[in-house]
Amino acid sequence: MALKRYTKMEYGSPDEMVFGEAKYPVSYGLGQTVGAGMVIPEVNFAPRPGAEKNPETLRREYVDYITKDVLDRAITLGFPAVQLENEHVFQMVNDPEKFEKPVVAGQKELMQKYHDEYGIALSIRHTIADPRLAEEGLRPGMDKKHSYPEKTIEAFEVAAANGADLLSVETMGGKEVADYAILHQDIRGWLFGIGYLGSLDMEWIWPQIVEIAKKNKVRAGGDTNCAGANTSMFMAGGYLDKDIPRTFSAVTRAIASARTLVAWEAGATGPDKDCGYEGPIVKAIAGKPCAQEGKGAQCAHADLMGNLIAQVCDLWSNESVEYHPEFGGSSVQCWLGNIGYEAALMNTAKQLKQDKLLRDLYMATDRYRSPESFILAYDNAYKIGQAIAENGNDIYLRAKLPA
Amino acid sequence: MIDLKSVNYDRVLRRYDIQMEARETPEDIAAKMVPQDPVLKKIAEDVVFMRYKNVQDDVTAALGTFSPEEIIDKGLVKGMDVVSELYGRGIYYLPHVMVAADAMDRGVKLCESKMTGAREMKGKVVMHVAEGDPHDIGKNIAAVLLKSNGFNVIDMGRDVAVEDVVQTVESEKPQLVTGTALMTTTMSAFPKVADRLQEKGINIPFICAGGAVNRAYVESYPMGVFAEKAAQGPALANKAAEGWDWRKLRENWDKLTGGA
Amino acid sequence: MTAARLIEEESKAGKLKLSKHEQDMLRRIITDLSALPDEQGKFVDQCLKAYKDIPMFNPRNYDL
Repeated sequence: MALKRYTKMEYGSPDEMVFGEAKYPVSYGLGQTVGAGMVIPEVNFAPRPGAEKNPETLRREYVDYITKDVLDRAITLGFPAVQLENEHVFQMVNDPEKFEKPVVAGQKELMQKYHDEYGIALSIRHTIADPRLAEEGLRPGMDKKHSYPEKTIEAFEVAAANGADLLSVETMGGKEVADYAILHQDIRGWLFGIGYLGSLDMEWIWPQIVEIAKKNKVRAGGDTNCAGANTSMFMAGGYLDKDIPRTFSAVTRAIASARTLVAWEAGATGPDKDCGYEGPIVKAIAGKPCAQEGKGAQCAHADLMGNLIAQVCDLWSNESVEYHPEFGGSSVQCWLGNIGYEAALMNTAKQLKQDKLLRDLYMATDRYRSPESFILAYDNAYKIGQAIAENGNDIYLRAKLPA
Repeated sequence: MIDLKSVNYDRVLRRYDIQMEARETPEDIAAKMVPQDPVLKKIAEDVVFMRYKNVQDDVTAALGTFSPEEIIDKGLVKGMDVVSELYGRGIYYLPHVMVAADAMDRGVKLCESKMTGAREMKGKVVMHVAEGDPHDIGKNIAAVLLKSNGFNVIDMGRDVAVEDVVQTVESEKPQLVTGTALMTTTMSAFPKVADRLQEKGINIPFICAGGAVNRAYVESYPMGVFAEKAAQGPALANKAAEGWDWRKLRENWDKLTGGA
Repeated sequence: MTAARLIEEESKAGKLKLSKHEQDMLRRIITDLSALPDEQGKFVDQCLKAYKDIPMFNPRNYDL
């Protein structure tokens, strides 16, 4: 399948971009529309260690405990719309029929019940794990030991057929080179690993994901360079961290954007994934909705743009939290409260036509907190997007020139 | 876009890292720590300043005067000690350590090729990433740090099955085994590894680390010793090589890891 | 080199502060990127040669 390259910007200027609105809104799930005038909280979670013991313990953890807790709290706090994200654990991709199917089906069944009873707009993103190993082979027929490439595709099919509304993945292509390059501060190597090899890997897998989504009448969302640019960002860390300089991390983010765009060029509709901090750049180019995470994801990690990254989001996420009790309920309930109230603030600002002011306030607080937050401020993100689109047909140049 | 000119950013954020930026240079620290002998000094400095192109020539020249063991212990390792000090003080960043370790490794390999017997190591470490987990950058960093601290590292790679870990530990007989994992549902392989090792009568420290891994979890199964960062590996491994068992490592964990 | 130049300009004339390490790295990135060829084919040839020994890297994974 041919990819439709982006060679011009869908937005005419940075100022046109704001949270809760995308040029191309997407509808899916149980009454959910993303990017059409509302920011929706997207809650993500991880099961407790040991929950993966057998298919029933895993199903119970995800469905009876986590999903039920999330839905109860959404109703309790009066949130009009919520998206769940299930980032699949290894067992679900390793044996999709046994481990994945009951979880996906069980979550949807429960969501349908709450939707029918309360009318709440609900949807679920299933992010399939990518366990493929470069040393064994990334393509079908190569990995004789585990058959991971085949299992990955199968896991998408099982999710799409059993209740997923939105398919996503954090592909790992080129990571073996990028990891080496990070540790040697070799920007050329990183550009080769993620900008070039990562894009090639996505050109292989994303048309298949889009096809599976179409066949099952669900949506293909998008990718994120969690495996590459977030490795840089987390190693660069905050002001006490001394692993790698934050200027390196900032430049890797610009390179990663050209790679992440490939999912949408293959026909995915968005929204892309929360941990893709390159969201403002790819949204500027393609006009598709993006999910972001920042201050509401402190349960998962610290970053230096907790407010800024909300500036043009369409979904607002907590990244991930392990299921456990807190004083205020279970962890998923507490963090849903956090992101849901933030979405309420953004949506109220929209109703009062103060959304661009709030966008600028978010951006202003963190604009100078790190070089990476600086380049992701929406005006700069737009300029980086232009460097990608101007060279849109050449996967090397469009990763090099925005760097 | 809103005009930001009037914002006093000192009221919004403070760059503590710039405020605390080290005034000492790598040269200042190295001058205090490198050996006096000019030949060994040069080799140590090759490591400190990552002159990996010079290492082989300088080591070759030194082999005329010093034994390979002396060059390793009094030259290359001393250089790496300076690098550790610089990293600890925040003057060097992790990539400096990686490149310096490469430089040291080149020198060590050359020396080893001239040695009659095997080089005496501090101990042996078996390392792996948990079954189902492809995230191995932390393990790779720790492996470099342990190697440059004089440990013989058996790196089993990533996504390693429990039984494979057990078999390798059985056959290699290391002083220490490590496991890393990013996810909550892959780290649950660690207690299985610990159980199987105990069944085999093996009772060595099992250092566990990685994204979702925490101290309470690691201390919930026998042999487990938590590491928060790769940089804590050598301190824990040194004590294990001295004969400390996992219980003693746990008891002294705060002290060994700087209370991290 | 959009991102690197944006950071460079703002750190010289604006409110973005950089530590010494961040500045050193930025200069190196600009030098390294400036040295890269303009053609994809040349870049790929250069990289396949330079990174062939990275453990686990197999060009066949990417049909190269």
